[in-house]
Amino acid sequence: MINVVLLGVVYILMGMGFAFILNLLGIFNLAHGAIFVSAAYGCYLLVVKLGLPGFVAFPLTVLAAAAFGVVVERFLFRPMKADFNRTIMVCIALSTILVTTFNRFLGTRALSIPPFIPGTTGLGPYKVDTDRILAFGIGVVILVAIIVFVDHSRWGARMQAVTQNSEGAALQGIRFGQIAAIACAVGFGLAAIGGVFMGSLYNLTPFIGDITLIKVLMLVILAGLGSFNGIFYVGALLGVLYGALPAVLNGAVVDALASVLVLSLLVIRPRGFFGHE
Amino acid sequence: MSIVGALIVILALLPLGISGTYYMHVLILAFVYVVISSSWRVVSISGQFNIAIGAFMGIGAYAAAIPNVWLGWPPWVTIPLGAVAAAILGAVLAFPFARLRTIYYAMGTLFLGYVIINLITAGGKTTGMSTGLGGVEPLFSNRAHYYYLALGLMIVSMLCLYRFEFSRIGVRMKAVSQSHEVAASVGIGERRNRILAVAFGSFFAGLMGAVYCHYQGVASPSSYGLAATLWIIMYVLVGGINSYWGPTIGVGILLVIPEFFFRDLRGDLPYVTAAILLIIAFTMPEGIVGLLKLLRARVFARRRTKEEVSVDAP
Repeated sequence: MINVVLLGVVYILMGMGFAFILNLLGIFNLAHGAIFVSAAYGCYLLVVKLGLPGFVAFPLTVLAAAAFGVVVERFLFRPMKADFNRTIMVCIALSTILVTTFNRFLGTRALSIPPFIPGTTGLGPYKVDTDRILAFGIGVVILVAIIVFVDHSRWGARMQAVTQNSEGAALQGIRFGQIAAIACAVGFGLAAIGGVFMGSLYNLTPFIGDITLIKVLMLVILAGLGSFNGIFYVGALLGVLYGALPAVLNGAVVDALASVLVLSLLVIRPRGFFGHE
Repeated sequence: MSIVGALIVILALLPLGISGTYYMHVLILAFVYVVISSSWRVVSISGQFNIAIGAFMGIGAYAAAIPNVWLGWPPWVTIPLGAVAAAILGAVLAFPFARLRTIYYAMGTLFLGYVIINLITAGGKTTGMSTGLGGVEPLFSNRAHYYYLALGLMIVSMLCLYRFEFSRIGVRMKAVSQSHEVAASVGIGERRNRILAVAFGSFFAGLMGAVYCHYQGVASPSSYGLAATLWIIMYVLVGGINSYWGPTIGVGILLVIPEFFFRDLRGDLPYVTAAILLIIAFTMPEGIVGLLKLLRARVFARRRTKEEVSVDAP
Protein backbone atom coordinates (compact mmCIF):
# COMPACT_ATOMS: atom_id res chain seq x y z
CA MET A 1 0.00 0.00 0.00
CA ILE A 2 2.70 2.45 0.98
CA ASN A 3 4.52 1.43 -2.23
CA VAL A 4 1.56 2.53 -4.28
CA VAL A 5 1.29 5.88 -2.56
CA LEU A 6 5.01 6.48 -2.65
CA LEU A 7 5.30 5.68 -6.34
CA GLY A 8 2.46 8.10 -6.92
CA VAL A 9 4.31 10.78 -4.98
CA VAL A 10 7.49 10.25 -7.01
CA TYR A 11 5.56 10.53 -10.27
CA ILE A 12 3.78 13.65 -9.08
CA LEU A 13 7.08 15.27 -8.06
CA MET A 14 8.60 14.49 -11.44
CA GLY A 15 5.50 15.56 -13.32
CA MET A 16 5.31 18.86 -11.46
CA GLY A 17 8.94 19.60 -12.26
CA PHE A 18 8.42 18.78 -15.91
CA ALA A 19 5.22 20.83 -16.06
CA PHE A 20 6.91 23.85 -14.48
CA ILE A 21 9.49 23.95 -17.24
CA LEU A 22 7.03 23.12 -20.00
CA ASN A 23 4.41 25.69 -18.99
CA LEU A 24 6.67 28.56 -18.14
CA LEU A 25 9.52 28.19 -20.61
CA GLY A 26 7.70 26.27 -23.31
CA ILE A 27 10.59 23.81 -23.30
CA PHE A 28 10.01 20.12 -23.87
CA ASN A 29 12.67 19.06 -21.38
CA LEU A 30 13.95 15.73 -22.66
CA ALA A 31 16.81 15.98 -20.16
CA HIS A 32 14.42 15.61 -17.23
CA GLY A 33 15.10 11.88 -16.92
CA ALA A 34 18.85 12.50 -16.95
CA ILE A 35 18.54 15.07 -14.16
CA PHE A 36 16.53 12.57 -12.17
CA VAL A 37 19.21 9.88 -12.58
CA SER A 38 22.05 12.30 -11.91
CA ALA A 39 20.51 13.41 -8.64
CA ALA A 40 20.13 9.80 -7.54
CA TYR A 41 23.76 9.08 -8.43
CA GLY A 42 24.89 12.30 -6.79
CA CYS A 43 23.16 11.37 -3.57
CA TYR A 44 24.62 7.86 -3.80
CA LEU A 45 28.12 9.28 -4.13
CA LEU A 46 27.63 11.66 -1.21
CA VAL A 47 26.30 8.94 1.08
CA VAL A 48 28.49 6.00 0.06
CA LYS A 49 31.77 7.62 -0.99
CA LEU A 50 31.86 10.59 1.33
CA GLY A 51 29.98 8.95 4.17
CA LEU A 52 27.62 11.87 4.74
CA PRO A 53 24.42 11.08 6.64
CA GLY A 54 21.29 11.03 4.55
CA PHE A 55 19.87 14.13 6.20
CA VAL A 56 22.78 16.18 4.92
CA ALA A 57 23.18 14.49 1.56
CA PHE A 58 19.53 14.76 0.55
CA PRO A 59 19.09 18.54 0.90
CA LEU A 60 22.56 19.04 -0.55
CA THR A 61 21.64 17.07 -3.68
CA VAL A 62 18.38 18.93 -4.11
CA LEU A 63 20.02 22.33 -3.68
CA ALA A 64 22.77 21.38 -6.10
CA ALA A 65 20.16 20.31 -8.65
CA ALA A 66 18.26 23.57 -8.21
CA ALA A 67 21.45 25.57 -8.68
CA PHE A 68 22.24 23.49 -11.74
CA GLY A 69 18.76 24.34 -13.02
CA VAL A 70 19.51 28.06 -12.76
CA VAL A 71 22.82 27.60 -14.58
CA VAL A 72 21.22 25.50 -17.32
CA GLU A 73 18.44 28.03 -17.79
CA ARG A 74 20.85 30.95 -18.04
CA PHE A 75 23.50 29.40 -20.28
CA LEU A 76 21.68 26.70 -22.24
CA PHE A 77 17.97 27.46 -22.44
CA ARG A 78 17.89 31.26 -22.60
CA PRO A 79 20.20 31.64 -25.63
CA MET A 80 17.90 29.27 -27.55
CA LYS A 81 14.96 31.69 -27.35
CA ALA A 82 12.46 28.82 -26.95
CA ASP A 83 13.16 27.56 -30.48
CA PHE A 84 11.74 24.03 -30.25
CA ASN A 85 14.36 22.33 -32.43
CA ARG A 86 17.32 23.99 -30.77
CA THR A 87 16.14 23.35 -27.22
CA ILE A 88 15.69 19.68 -28.08
CA MET A 89 19.26 19.55 -29.33
CA VAL A 90 20.51 21.17 -26.14
CA CYS A 91 18.46 18.84 -23.93
CA ILE A 92 19.78 15.77 -25.69
CA ALA A 93 23.35 17.01 -25.52
CA LEU A 94 22.91 17.66 -21.80
CA SER A 95 21.39 14.27 -21.06
CA THR A 96 24.01 12.49 -23.19
CA ILE A 97 26.80 14.14 -21.23
CA LEU A 98 25.26 13.33 -17.84
CA VAL A 99 24.37 9.72 -18.62
CA THR A 100 27.73 9.01 -20.29
CA THR A 101 29.57 10.41 -17.30
CA PHE A 102 27.72 8.23 -14.82
CA ASN A 103 28.03 5.14 -17.02
CA ARG A 104 31.73 5.71 -17.32
CA PHE A 105 32.53 6.13 -13.67
CA LEU A 106 29.94 3.96 -11.97
CA GLY A 107 29.13 1.33 -14.59
CA THR A 108 25.66 0.19 -15.52
CA ARG A 109 25.06 -2.26 -12.67
CA ALA A 110 22.22 -1.63 -10.26
CA LEU A 111 23.13 0.38 -7.18
CA SER A 112 21.10 1.42 -4.20
CA ILE A 113 21.33 4.38 -1.86
CA PRO A 114 21.45 3.01 1.70
CA PRO A 115 18.35 3.82 3.76
CA PHE A 116 18.47 6.99 5.84
CA ILE A 117 16.87 5.26 8.82
CA PRO A 118 17.16 1.49 8.93
CA GLY A 119 14.44 -0.64 10.47
CA THR A 120 10.72 -0.94 10.23
CA THR A 121 7.76 0.56 11.98
CA GLY A 122 4.55 -1.20 12.84
CA LEU A 123 1.63 0.46 11.10
CA GLY A 124 -1.47 -1.32 12.27
CA PRO A 125 -1.05 -4.93 11.24
CA TYR A 126 1.66 -4.17 8.68
CA LYS A 127 5.37 -3.61 9.04
CA VAL A 128 6.72 -0.82 6.86
CA ASP A 129 10.25 0.48 6.34
CA THR A 130 10.61 3.66 8.38
CA ASP A 131 12.46 5.13 5.46
CA ARG A 132 9.46 4.87 3.20
CA ILE A 133 7.17 6.56 5.69
CA LEU A 134 9.70 9.34 6.02
CA ALA A 135 10.02 9.68 2.25
CA PHE A 136 6.26 9.81 1.92
CA GLY A 137 6.07 12.51 4.60
CA ILE A 138 8.76 14.61 2.97
CA GLY A 139 7.18 14.20 -0.44
CA VAL A 140 3.75 15.31 0.75
CA VAL A 141 5.17 18.30 2.63
CA ILE A 142 7.06 19.40 -0.46
CA LEU A 143 4.01 19.00 -2.68
CA VAL A 144 1.87 21.04 -0.32
CA ALA A 145 4.59 23.67 -0.16
CA ILE A 146 4.70 23.86 -3.96
CA ILE A 147 0.94 24.23 -4.19
CA VAL A 148 0.93 26.98 -1.58
CA PHE A 149 3.83 28.63 -3.40
CA VAL A 150 2.04 28.60 -6.74
CA ASP A 151 -1.38 29.60 -5.43
CA HIS A 152 -0.62 32.03 -2.64
CA SER A 153 2.72 33.72 -3.12
CA ARG A 154 3.62 36.74 -5.19
CA TRP A 155 6.04 34.68 -7.28
CA GLY A 156 3.40 32.04 -7.81
CA ALA A 157 1.01 34.66 -9.11
CA ARG A 158 3.69 35.95 -11.48
CA MET A 159 4.29 32.42 -12.71
CA GLN A 160 0.63 31.90 -13.41
CA ALA A 161 0.54 35.20 -15.26
CA VAL A 162 3.43 34.10 -17.46
CA THR A 163 1.74 30.76 -18.13
CA GLN A 164 -1.45 32.46 -19.22
CA ASN A 165 0.02 35.22 -21.31
CA SER A 166 3.75 35.82 -21.31
CA GLU A 167 3.63 39.03 -23.33
CA GLY A 168 0.95 40.52 -21.12
CA ALA A 169 2.95 39.55 -18.07
CA ALA A 170 6.04 41.22 -19.49
CA LEU A 171 4.01 44.40 -20.04
CA GLN A 172 3.09 44.34 -16.35
CA GLY A 173 6.75 44.43 -15.44
CA ILE A 174 7.27 40.76 -14.70
CA ARG A 175 10.78 39.78 -15.69
CA PHE A 176 10.66 36.63 -17.72
CA GLY A 177 14.29 35.76 -17.01
CA GLN A 178 13.71 35.63 -13.26
CA ILE A 179 10.58 33.55 -13.60
CA ALA A 180 12.32 31.16 -15.96
CA ALA A 181 15.26 30.76 -13.58
CA ILE A 182 12.93 30.00 -10.67
CA ALA A 183 10.93 27.57 -12.77
CA CYS A 184 14.07 25.71 -13.79
CA ALA A 185 15.39 25.65 -10.24
CA VAL A 186 12.09 24.29 -8.93
CA GLY A 187 11.76 21.87 -11.83
CA PHE A 188 15.24 20.42 -11.46
CA GLY A 189 14.95 20.40 -7.66
CA LEU A 190 11.72 18.40 -7.84
CA ALA A 191 13.31 15.98 -10.28
CA ALA A 192 16.19 15.58 -7.84
CA ILE A 193 13.84 14.80 -4.95
CA GLY A 194 12.07 12.22 -7.08
CA GLY A 195 15.42 10.77 -8.13
CA VAL A 196 16.71 10.40 -4.60
CA PHE A 197 13.48 8.70 -3.49
CA MET A 198 13.59 6.36 -6.44
CA GLY A 199 17.27 5.63 -5.89
CA SER A 200 16.96 4.90 -2.21
CA LEU A 201 13.70 2.97 -2.27
CA TYR A 202 14.05 1.11 -5.54
CA ASN A 203 16.98 0.24 -7.78
CA LEU A 204 19.35 2.75 -9.26
CA THR A 205 20.56 2.13 -12.82
CA PRO A 206 21.25 4.58 -15.66
CA PHE A 207 18.13 3.30 -17.41
CA ILE A 208 15.55 4.47 -14.87
CA GLY A 209 15.81 7.95 -16.36
CA ASP A 210 14.25 7.07 -19.70
CA ILE A 211 11.56 4.90 -18.13
CA THR A 212 10.62 7.63 -15.69
CA LEU A 213 10.62 10.23 -18.44
CA ILE A 214 8.02 8.14 -20.27
CA LYS A 215 5.91 7.89 -17.12
CA VAL A 216 6.17 11.62 -16.61
CA LEU A 217 5.09 12.29 -20.18
CA MET A 218 2.17 9.98 -19.65
CA LEU A 219 1.25 11.94 -16.53
CA VAL A 220 1.57 15.32 -18.20
CA ILE A 221 -0.40 14.19 -21.26
CA LEU A 222 -3.18 12.75 -19.11
CA ALA A 223 -3.34 15.76 -16.84
CA GLY A 224 -3.24 18.20 -19.70
CA LEU A 225 -0.76 20.97 -20.40
CA GLY A 226 -1.09 24.08 -18.33
CA SER A 227 -2.66 22.24 -15.44
CA PHE A 228 -0.95 21.86 -12.08
CA ASN A 229 -3.79 20.34 -10.08
CA GLY A 230 -4.52 17.70 -12.68
CA ILE A 231 -1.08 16.27 -12.09
CA PHE A 232 -2.09 15.31 -8.53
CA TYR A 233 -5.09 13.27 -9.47
CA VAL A 234 -3.44 11.61 -12.43
CA GLY A 235 -0.23 11.00 -10.48
CA ALA A 236 -2.23 9.17 -7.84
CA LEU A 237 -3.97 7.18 -10.57
CA LEU A 238 -0.65 6.18 -12.14
CA GLY A 239 0.74 5.26 -8.73
CA VAL A 240 -2.17 2.89 -8.23
CA LEU A 241 -1.77 1.54 -11.73
CA TYR A 242 1.94 0.81 -11.43
CA GLY A 243 2.13 0.08 -7.71
CA ALA A 244 -0.90 -2.14 -7.19
CA LEU A 245 -1.85 -3.77 -10.47
CA PRO A 246 1.42 -5.67 -11.13
CA ALA A 247 0.49 -7.79 -8.08
CA VAL A 248 -2.58 -9.00 -9.96
CA LEU A 249 -1.55 -8.74 -13.61
CA ASN A 250 1.60 -9.23 -15.65
CA GLY A 251 3.79 -6.08 -15.74
CA ALA A 252 3.75 -5.92 -19.53
CA VAL A 253 -0.04 -6.05 -19.53
CA VAL A 254 -0.21 -3.14 -17.09
CA ASP A 255 2.15 -1.16 -19.28
CA ALA A 256 0.07 -1.89 -22.36
CA LEU A 257 -3.11 -0.98 -20.48
CA ALA A 258 -1.74 2.36 -19.37
CA SER A 259 -0.39 3.06 -22.84
CA VAL A 260 -3.70 2.35 -24.51
CA LEU A 261 -5.42 4.59 -21.98
CA VAL A 262 -3.09 7.47 -22.75
CA LEU A 263 -3.21 7.03 -26.51
CA SER A 264 -6.98 6.85 -26.62
CA LEU A 265 -7.25 9.91 -24.41
CA LEU A 266 -4.86 11.82 -26.66
CA VAL A 267 -7.05 11.01 -29.59
CA ILE A 268 -10.38 11.70 -27.93
CA ARG A 269 -9.37 14.69 -25.86
CA PRO A 270 -5.93 16.07 -26.75
CA ARG A 271 -6.05 18.60 -23.93
CA GLY A 272 -6.02 15.92 -21.24
CA PHE A 273 -8.42 15.45 -18.36
CA PHE A 274 -7.72 18.76 -16.67
CA GLY A 275 -6.21 20.81 -19.45
CA HIS A 276 -7.53 24.06 -20.73
CA GLU A 277 -6.40 26.48 -23.35
CA MET B 1 24.38 18.65 -58.83
CA SER B 2 27.97 18.01 -59.94
CA ILE B 3 29.00 17.74 -56.29
CA VAL B 4 26.40 15.03 -55.75
CA GLY B 5 27.57 13.15 -58.85
CA ALA B 6 31.18 13.31 -57.73
CA LEU B 7 30.22 12.12 -54.25
CA ILE B 8 28.34 9.13 -55.66
CA VAL B 9 31.31 8.19 -57.85
CA ILE B 10 33.68 8.46 -54.89
CA LEU B 11 31.38 6.36 -52.70
CA ALA B 12 31.02 3.75 -55.45
CA LEU B 13 34.78 3.43 -55.87
CA LEU B 14 35.55 3.57 -52.14
CA PRO B 15 35.37 -0.21 -51.40
CA LEU B 16 38.32 -0.72 -53.79
CA GLY B 17 40.60 1.44 -51.71
CA ILE B 18 39.15 1.05 -48.23
CA SER B 19 41.00 -1.06 -45.70
CA GLY B 20 39.25 -2.87 -42.91
CA THR B 21 35.63 -3.86 -42.66
CA TYR B 22 34.95 -1.39 -39.87
CA TYR B 23 34.92 1.67 -42.10
CA MET B 24 32.68 -0.11 -44.55
CA HIS B 25 30.34 -1.00 -41.73
CA VAL B 26 30.15 2.65 -40.66
CA LEU B 27 29.37 3.72 -44.21
CA ILE B 28 26.61 1.10 -44.56
CA LEU B 29 25.17 2.40 -41.30
CA ALA B 30 25.46 5.94 -42.63
CA PHE B 31 23.59 5.09 -45.86
CA VAL B 32 20.80 3.51 -43.83
CA TYR B 33 20.52 6.53 -41.57
CA VAL B 34 20.68 9.01 -44.44
CA VAL B 35 17.52 7.45 -45.86
CA ILE B 36 15.76 7.18 -42.51
CA SER B 37 16.55 10.72 -41.41
CA SER B 38 15.60 12.09 -44.84
CA SER B 39 12.29 10.26 -44.60
CA TRP B 40 11.79 11.79 -41.16
CA ARG B 41 12.36 15.21 -42.68
CA VAL B 42 9.79 14.51 -45.38
CA VAL B 43 7.28 13.78 -42.63
CA SER B 44 8.31 17.00 -40.91
CA ILE B 45 7.62 19.19 -43.95
CA SER B 46 3.93 18.60 -43.32
CA GLY B 47 4.45 20.13 -39.87
CA GLN B 48 4.67 16.90 -37.93
CA PHE B 49 7.44 16.46 -35.39
CA ASN B 50 7.21 12.68 -35.35
CA ILE B 51 9.10 11.02 -32.47
CA ALA B 52 8.14 7.49 -33.54
CA ILE B 53 10.25 7.02 -36.68
CA GLY B 54 12.53 4.52 -34.94
CA ALA B 55 9.51 2.41 -34.08
CA PHE B 56 8.46 2.36 -37.75
CA MET B 57 11.97 1.26 -38.64
CA GLY B 58 11.43 -1.48 -36.05
CA ILE B 59 8.12 -2.49 -37.62
CA GLY B 60 9.90 -2.86 -40.95
CA ALA B 61 12.65 -4.90 -39.33
CA TYR B 62 10.30 -7.24 -37.49
CA ALA B 63 7.94 -7.59 -40.44
CA ALA B 64 10.96 -8.82 -42.38
CA ALA B 65 12.57 -10.88 -39.61
CA ILE B 66 9.53 -12.82 -38.38
CA PRO B 67 8.49 -14.39 -41.75
CA ASN B 68 12.15 -15.00 -42.54
CA VAL B 69 12.99 -16.78 -39.29
CA TRP B 70 9.76 -18.65 -38.61
CA LEU B 71 8.38 -19.25 -42.12
CA GLY B 72 11.63 -19.33 -44.06
CA TRP B 73 10.58 -16.71 -46.59
CA PRO B 74 13.51 -15.48 -48.73
CA PRO B 75 14.94 -12.00 -47.99
CA TRP B 76 13.91 -10.70 -51.41
CA VAL B 77 10.30 -11.15 -50.31
CA THR B 78 10.63 -10.08 -46.69
CA ILE B 79 12.44 -6.78 -47.31
CA PRO B 80 9.67 -5.28 -49.50
CA LEU B 81 7.19 -6.81 -47.07
CA GLY B 82 8.83 -4.88 -44.22
CA ALA B 83 8.61 -1.62 -46.14
CA VAL B 84 4.97 -2.12 -47.10
CA ALA B 85 4.01 -3.20 -43.57
CA ALA B 86 5.61 -0.08 -42.11
CA ALA B 87 3.82 2.13 -44.65
CA ILE B 88 0.40 0.56 -44.00
CA LEU B 89 0.78 0.62 -40.22
CA GLY B 90 2.10 4.16 -40.50
CA ALA B 91 -1.01 5.25 -42.37
CA VAL B 92 -3.35 3.47 -39.94
CA LEU B 93 -1.62 4.86 -36.85
CA ALA B 94 -1.29 8.33 -38.34
CA PHE B 95 -5.05 8.52 -38.76
CA PRO B 96 -5.95 9.27 -35.12
CA PHE B 97 -2.82 11.38 -34.64
CA ALA B 98 -3.75 13.71 -37.48
CA ARG B 99 -5.90 15.57 -34.95
CA LEU B 100 -2.92 16.54 -32.83
CA ARG B 101 -0.67 19.45 -33.62
CA THR B 102 2.68 20.91 -32.53
CA ILE B 103 3.89 19.81 -29.12
CA TYR B 104 0.89 17.53 -28.56
CA TYR B 105 1.81 15.63 -31.71
CA ALA B 106 5.43 15.37 -30.58
CA MET B 107 4.44 14.04 -27.15
CA GLY B 108 1.82 11.72 -28.58
CA THR B 109 4.16 10.17 -31.12
CA LEU B 110 6.92 9.83 -28.56
CA PHE B 111 4.46 7.80 -26.59
CA LEU B 112 3.34 5.87 -29.66
CA GLY B 113 6.91 4.80 -30.32
CA TYR B 114 7.21 3.56 -26.77
CA VAL B 115 3.98 1.59 -27.05
CA ILE B 116 4.99 -0.02 -30.36
CA ILE B 117 8.32 -1.15 -28.93
CA ASN B 118 6.57 -2.44 -25.81
CA LEU B 119 4.10 -4.44 -27.89
CA ILE B 120 6.93 -5.90 -29.95
CA THR B 121 8.78 -6.86 -26.79
CA ALA B 122 5.65 -8.42 -25.32
CA GLY B 123 5.37 -10.72 -28.38
CA GLY B 124 6.88 -13.71 -26.59
CA LYS B 125 8.93 -16.25 -28.52
CA THR B 126 7.80 -14.91 -31.91
CA THR B 127 9.66 -11.63 -31.45
CA GLY B 128 12.36 -12.87 -29.11
CA MET B 129 11.29 -10.55 -26.26
CA SER B 130 13.76 -7.88 -25.17
CA THR B 131 16.88 -9.74 -26.36
CA GLY B 132 15.68 -9.52 -29.95
CA LEU B 133 15.07 -12.02 -32.71
CA GLY B 134 18.30 -13.56 -33.95
CA GLY B 135 19.10 -15.88 -36.84
CA VAL B 136 17.80 -13.64 -39.62
CA GLU B 137 19.11 -14.95 -42.93
CA PRO B 138 21.94 -12.85 -44.39
CA LEU B 139 21.64 -11.63 -47.96
CA PHE B 140 25.29 -11.93 -48.97
CA SER B 141 28.43 -13.31 -47.44
CA ASN B 142 30.55 -10.41 -48.68
CA ARG B 143 30.30 -7.09 -46.90
CA ALA B 144 31.07 -5.13 -50.07
CA HIS B 145 27.84 -6.46 -51.61
CA TYR B 146 25.90 -5.00 -48.70
CA TYR B 147 27.75 -1.78 -49.24
CA TYR B 148 26.59 -1.55 -52.84
CA LEU B 149 23.05 -2.61 -51.94
CA ALA B 150 22.83 0.10 -49.29
CA LEU B 151 24.37 2.68 -51.61
CA GLY B 152 21.99 1.79 -54.43
CA LEU B 153 18.96 1.83 -52.17
CA MET B 154 20.07 5.17 -50.75
CA ILE B 155 20.34 6.73 -54.21
CA VAL B 156 16.95 5.38 -55.31
CA SER B 157 15.25 6.39 -52.05
CA MET B 158 16.74 9.85 -52.11
CA LEU B 159 15.50 10.32 -55.68
CA CYS B 160 12.00 9.26 -54.59
CA LEU B 161 12.07 11.57 -51.60
CA TYR B 162 13.31 14.42 -53.79
CA ARG B 163 10.53 13.87 -56.29
CA PHE B 164 8.03 13.70 -53.46
CA GLU B 165 9.13 16.89 -51.75
CA PHE B 166 9.31 19.05 -54.86
CA SER B 167 6.15 17.70 -56.42
CA ARG B 168 2.66 19.12 -56.11
CA ILE B 169 2.09 16.90 -53.06
CA GLY B 170 5.17 18.27 -51.33
CA VAL B 171 4.01 21.82 -51.89
CA ARG B 172 0.60 20.93 -50.45
CA MET B 173 2.30 19.53 -47.38
CA LYS B 174 4.30 22.68 -46.86
CA ALA B 175 1.07 24.64 -47.14
CA VAL B 176 -0.58 22.46 -44.49
CA SER B 177 2.41 22.96 -42.24
CA GLN B 178 2.39 26.74 -42.55
CA SER B 179 -1.32 27.25 -42.02
CA HIS B 180 -3.78 24.42 -42.06
CA GLU B 181 -6.69 26.86 -42.15
CA VAL B 182 -5.50 28.69 -45.25
CA ALA B 183 -4.64 25.35 -46.85
CA ALA B 184 -8.14 24.07 -46.12
CA SER B 185 -9.66 27.22 -47.62
CA VAL B 186 -8.06 26.44 -51.00
CA GLY B 187 -9.10 22.79 -50.85
CA ILE B 188 -6.01 21.15 -49.41
CA GLY B 189 -7.16 18.69 -46.79
CA GLU B 190 -4.97 18.65 -43.71
CA ARG B 191 -5.63 15.14 -42.52
CA ARG B 192 -5.17 13.42 -45.87
CA ASN B 193 -1.86 15.09 -46.59
CA ARG B 194 -0.47 14.49 -43.13
CA ILE B 195 -1.36 10.78 -43.24
CA LEU B 196 0.18 10.52 -46.68
CA ALA B 197 3.40 12.08 -45.42
CA VAL B 198 3.65 9.63 -42.52
CA ALA B 199 2.91 6.64 -44.75
CA PHE B 200 5.49 7.74 -47.30
CA GLY B 201 8.15 8.39 -44.66
CA SER B 202 7.41 5.12 -42.86
CA PHE B 203 7.82 3.19 -46.10
CA PHE B 204 11.46 4.21 -46.41
CA ALA B 205 12.11 3.85 -42.69
CA GLY B 206 10.66 0.33 -42.83
CA LEU B 207 12.63 -0.51 -45.97
CA MET B 208 15.94 0.46 -44.44
CA GLY B 209 15.00 -1.13 -41.12
CA ALA B 210 14.38 -4.42 -42.94
CA VAL B 211 17.63 -4.22 -44.94
CA TYR B 212 19.61 -3.38 -41.87
CA CYS B 213 18.09 -6.23 -39.90
CA HIS B 214 19.07 -8.72 -42.64
CA TYR B 215 22.55 -7.22 -42.62
CA GLN B 216 22.95 -7.51 -38.85
CA GLY B 217 21.21 -10.89 -38.63
CA VAL B 218 19.18 -9.74 -35.63
CA ALA B 219 16.21 -7.49 -34.87
CA SER B 220 16.47 -6.13 -31.34
CA PRO B 221 14.02 -3.67 -29.80
CA SER B 222 16.71 -1.48 -28.26
CA SER B 223 17.80 -0.28 -31.72
CA TYR B 224 14.34 1.15 -32.41
CA GLY B 225 13.55 2.84 -29.10
CA LEU B 226 13.40 6.46 -28.01
CA ALA B 227 17.17 6.95 -28.04
CA ALA B 228 17.47 5.72 -31.64
CA THR B 229 14.62 7.99 -32.75
CA LEU B 230 16.11 11.01 -31.04
CA TRP B 231 19.45 10.46 -32.75
CA ILE B 232 17.73 10.26 -36.13
CA ILE B 233 16.10 13.60 -35.37
CA MET B 234 19.47 14.99 -34.27
CA TYR B 235 20.97 14.13 -37.67
CA VAL B 236 18.26 16.19 -39.31
CA LEU B 237 18.53 19.14 -36.94
CA VAL B 238 22.32 19.26 -37.14
CA GLY B 239 22.28 19.24 -40.92
CA GLY B 240 19.37 21.63 -41.20
CA ILE B 241 15.68 20.79 -41.08
CA ASN B 242 14.79 23.29 -43.81
CA SER B 243 16.93 21.77 -46.50
CA TYR B 244 16.71 18.59 -48.54
CA TRP B 245 20.42 17.86 -48.05
CA GLY B 246 20.31 18.61 -44.32
CA PRO B 247 19.88 15.00 -43.09
CA THR B 248 22.69 13.76 -45.35
CA ILE B 249 25.08 16.37 -44.04
CA GLY B 250 23.90 15.72 -40.49
CA VAL B 251 24.68 11.99 -40.75
CA GLY B 252 28.09 12.88 -42.11
CA ILE B 253 28.85 15.26 -39.27
CA LEU B 254 27.31 13.38 -36.37
CA LEU B 255 27.83 9.74 -37.35
CA VAL B 256 30.61 9.34 -39.90
CA ILE B 257 33.10 11.90 -38.63
CA PRO B 258 33.02 10.77 -34.96
CA GLU B 259 33.21 7.08 -35.94
CA PHE B 260 36.06 7.64 -38.40
CA PHE B 261 38.25 10.07 -36.52
CA PHE B 262 37.36 9.74 -32.85
CA ARG B 263 36.96 5.98 -32.72
CA ASP B 264 39.81 5.58 -30.23
CA LEU B 265 37.81 7.40 -27.58
CA ARG B 266 35.36 4.47 -27.33
CA GLY B 267 33.28 5.17 -24.19
CA ASP B 268 33.95 8.88 -24.44
CA LEU B 269 32.59 9.14 -27.97
CA PRO B 270 29.21 10.50 -26.80
CA TYR B 271 31.03 13.56 -25.47
CA VAL B 272 32.15 14.39 -29.00
CA THR B 273 28.63 14.10 -30.41
CA ALA B 274 27.21 16.12 -27.51
CA ALA B 275 29.81 18.83 -28.12
CA ILE B 276 28.87 18.93 -31.81
CA LEU B 277 25.21 19.27 -30.86
CA LEU B 278 25.92 22.16 -28.51
CA ILE B 279 28.11 23.97 -31.04
CA ILE B 280 25.44 23.65 -33.72
CA ALA B 281 22.62 24.70 -31.38
CA PHE B 282 24.51 27.78 -30.26
CA THR B 283 26.03 29.01 -33.49
CA MET B 284 23.82 27.70 -36.29
CA PRO B 285 20.06 27.94 -35.66
CA GLU B 286 19.32 26.49 -39.11
CA GLY B 287 21.96 23.77 -38.96
CA ILE B 288 24.98 23.37 -41.20
CA VAL B 289 23.00 24.09 -44.36
CA GLY B 290 21.74 27.32 -42.82
CA LEU B 291 25.33 28.37 -42.24
CA LEU B 292 26.31 27.48 -45.81
CA LYS B 293 23.39 29.48 -47.18
CA LEU B 294 24.38 32.45 -45.04
CA LEU B 295 27.97 32.27 -46.26
CA ARG B 296 26.88 32.02 -49.87
CA ALA B 297 24.53 34.96 -49.48
CA ARG B 298 27.37 37.04 -48.00
CA VAL B 299 29.77 36.14 -50.78
CA PHE B 300 27.19 36.96 -53.44
CA ALA B 301 26.25 40.20 -51.74
CA ARG B 302 29.88 41.30 -51.67
CA ARG B 303 30.33 40.47 -55.35
CA ARG B 304 27.21 42.37 -56.25
CA THR B 305 28.25 45.49 -54.38
CA LYS B 306 31.62 45.38 -56.12
CA GLU B 307 29.92 45.15 -59.51
CA GLU B 308 27.61 48.02 -58.65
CA VAL B 309 30.54 50.12 -57.56
CA SER B 310 32.38 49.43 -60.78
CA VAL B 311 29.30 50.33 -62.81
CA ASP B 312 28.77 53.58 -60.96
CA ALA B 313 32.36 54.65 -61.29
CA PRO B 314 33.03 56.72 -64.38
